Amino acid sequence: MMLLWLYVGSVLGLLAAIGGVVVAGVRRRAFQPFTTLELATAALLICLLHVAVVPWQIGLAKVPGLDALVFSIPYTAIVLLGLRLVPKPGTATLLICGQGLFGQLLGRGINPAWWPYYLWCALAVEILLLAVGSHLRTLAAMLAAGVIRGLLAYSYMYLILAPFLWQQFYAPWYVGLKIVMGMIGCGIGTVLAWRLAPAIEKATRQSSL
Amino acid sequence: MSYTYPDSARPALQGINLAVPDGEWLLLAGPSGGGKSTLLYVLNGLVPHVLGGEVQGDIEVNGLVPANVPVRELSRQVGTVFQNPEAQLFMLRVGEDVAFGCENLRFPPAETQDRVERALTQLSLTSLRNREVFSLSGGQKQRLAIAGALAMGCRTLLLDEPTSDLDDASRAELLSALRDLHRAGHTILMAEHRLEGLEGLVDRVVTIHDGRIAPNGTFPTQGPLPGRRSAGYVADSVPLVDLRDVTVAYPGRPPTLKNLSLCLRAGEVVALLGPNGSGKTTLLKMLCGLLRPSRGQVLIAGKKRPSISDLVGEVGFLFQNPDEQLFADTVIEEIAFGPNNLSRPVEPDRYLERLGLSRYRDDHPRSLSRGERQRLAAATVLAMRPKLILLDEPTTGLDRHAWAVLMEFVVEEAARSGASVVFSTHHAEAAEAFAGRALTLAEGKVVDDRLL
Amino acid sequence: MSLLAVVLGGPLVLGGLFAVTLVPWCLVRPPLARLRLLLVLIGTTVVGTMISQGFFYGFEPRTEILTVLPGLSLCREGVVYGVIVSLRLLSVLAAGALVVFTTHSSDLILALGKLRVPNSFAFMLTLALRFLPETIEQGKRILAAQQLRGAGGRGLLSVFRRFRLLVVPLLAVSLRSARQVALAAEVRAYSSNRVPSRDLRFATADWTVLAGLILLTTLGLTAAAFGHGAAAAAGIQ
Repeated sequence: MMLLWLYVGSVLGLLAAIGGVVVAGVRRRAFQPFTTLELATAALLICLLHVAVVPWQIGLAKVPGLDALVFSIPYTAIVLLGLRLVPKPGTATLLICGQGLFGQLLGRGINPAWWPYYLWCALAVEILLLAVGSHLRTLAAMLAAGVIRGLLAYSYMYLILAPFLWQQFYAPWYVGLKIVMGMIGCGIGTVLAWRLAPAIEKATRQSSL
Repeated sequence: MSYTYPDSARPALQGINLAVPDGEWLLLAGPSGGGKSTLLYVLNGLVPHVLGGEVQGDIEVNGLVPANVPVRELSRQVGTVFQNPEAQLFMLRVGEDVAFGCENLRFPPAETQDRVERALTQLSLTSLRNREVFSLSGGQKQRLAIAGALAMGCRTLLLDEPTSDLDDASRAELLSALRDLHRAGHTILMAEHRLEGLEGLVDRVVTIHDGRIAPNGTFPTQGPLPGRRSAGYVADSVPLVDLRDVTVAYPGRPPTLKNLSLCLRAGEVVALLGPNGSGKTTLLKMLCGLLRPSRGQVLIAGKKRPSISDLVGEVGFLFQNPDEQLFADTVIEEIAFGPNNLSRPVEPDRYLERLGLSRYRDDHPRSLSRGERQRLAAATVLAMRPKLILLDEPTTGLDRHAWAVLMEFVVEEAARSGASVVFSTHHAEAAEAFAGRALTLAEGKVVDDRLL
Repeated sequence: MSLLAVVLGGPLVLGGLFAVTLVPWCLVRPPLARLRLLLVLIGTTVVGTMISQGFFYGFEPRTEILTVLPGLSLCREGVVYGVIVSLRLLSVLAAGALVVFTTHSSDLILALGKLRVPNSFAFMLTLALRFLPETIEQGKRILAAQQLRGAGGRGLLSVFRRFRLLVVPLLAVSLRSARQVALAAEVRAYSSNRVPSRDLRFATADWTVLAGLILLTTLGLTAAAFGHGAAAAAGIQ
């Protein structure tokens, strides 16, 4: 029963946080509607998230502890690259929730029970961006975004969601391990994005129609 | 009227004076980059609303001035169809895609259904209404795009090189649909550089060159190609490629290649002809090891049933889209990439000079024009001095001059090193000018194999 | 379904639940390739969960079966619990996947719209669905082009290198497509308040399924109240 309240509490907390962010954003006039180009870019980034993650699912990825690490690397890299390309409040939500829903559409089944998870991850990044300013120019900012997302994603998943939805109780040290691995993976992914960003920006600036 | 794009120094269009009466089918001819597309974009409002820049002069479309009216309003009168059939279809099913424009214009559902029905009938697509968009041919996709525009109520159609990515059958389909629409009274402005077969259909031709309208109004003729027929092959040598009774099938689908047998010798230049879906690309993929046959014997460059990793350095493949093959930061690195990986010697500057790209030596590969990028990609493949060079539709998407230069380069380099070349194309001209042998495929089998 | 899976406990009952979800699957008769994929998925999930729960079970009592390292041991309760958990997981997954499998994606997205997911979001999802196959093909071609130029290789470092080589061109090509799509959408008057031309209504089949689910849920909840609940099975208060 306690778990139920924990889950419900997290959802309520989520709604409150969203409310707060929206109010703060509106007050600072940070929100602008997305242009068609940005929507199209986000859509293709979501495709990319599915495609680029696949080649990594080999060898090491199957070891239960390390899967968090291996998955986070390309995932975080692409999400952060996406944020560099479309530096607006709301992009993280589009990408993270979009990818989650996309995975559900493709075969897992539309399961609203998971939506708070996606929203929390996205929200964490959004709050950071609103505080720092949406342009992730410095490595520190990018690292913060990536790692915080990792921290939140894995903690929430293993501390709240897994126990409630799946009744999976892991030993605390294992949960800790997964969180740390996840964060390390996100960190590596961030560094990857950091290294790739200039190349990508050069590439995009050059292409004409 | 004149216009300059926001990022460039030279005007894209200068001194344009053009009047198009209602119901006319006007052809805009001219080289790539000469301004044809830009002219169309001025008419549909993408310039200046979406692409920026400032337009000078007076323009009027159906009584509206594009610069003052949002693209949404203009799109009710003027429909646009772009070159790439893939990039203008939004929904997953045919019927939904046609309805897309109407839904955006917020018509009530009943009216939308009505308009969709009529548009589908006009373009003979009614039987395809519930098909998935993926399964359509190129020509069908382009007709779908037109249907979407018609459903919105457009009387004027702007087409930007609509047949350039299509094979001959699809192209014929599309042109016939356009002819019907023309007869029904629609005004059509079409920019094209593939001019075969258009002479009897269009009302008028205007050539745009370097941003200006060229003085003559006659139908442009095509000069002869600077072709170079291949010198023939070295007879009695061990075949480079020997395929016997090969069947290739994609998982879960009926076989794409059936009992195919083929023998290629070093030094041959072969053109692969045939409609889309006849198996040309599959054959090319098999020749580079990307696909393995389910039956039959395969010998390529001395290796039996090789996979792609076995053929590195022996076989080179040039894809249709050069952007998929460029990954370095400078042009010169790009060429050296392959040979460096294999520790082979390379003289990148020689290729650059031969292709006229020397001035771009230290530039980023993507800053080149489409034709130049294609040539660069070709150079990267040839720099590895492979024994077999495969090209997938090198003539599609480029204007005649551009692909002629490309093919000339490839064939010349191949002759120099004694390599063989296989290229697929829908341009019979290209086959005539550059190949020594023409293989025609239909439904997975070879139906014709002759020397040219 | 999720509700039931959470509330019920005990391997027998959960097994029963899973069997119930299998019934509609048999009705639908999925193609063989899909079925194989599903079986693989089920197999790995069950085994994986058994192992991870076996090693990392968080509660006492634990009866050790196998000790790998000091402090890391496989325990019987964990393994059993792993089976329970996977059954739970699978019931939810099976039910969810069924919905996705039998309904066309466009309808699913329309349904999302009715649940008041913002329009531009739904549009973006449609675009993503639309471009996924091509993006996959492009990815394959790019990888092939690189391999042919000698950029293959195994080992951890080369995976990184290949990622970079894959992502830069793929992203560049995708961005160009995005640009073209955006232009085409503008020309078709795209705006975020659209009036959808189709509507989704519940048909008789849908009502029956809904009724069935309500019945199932009531049964399940009663069973839980009578001591088959999850808490009881896990032995915690």
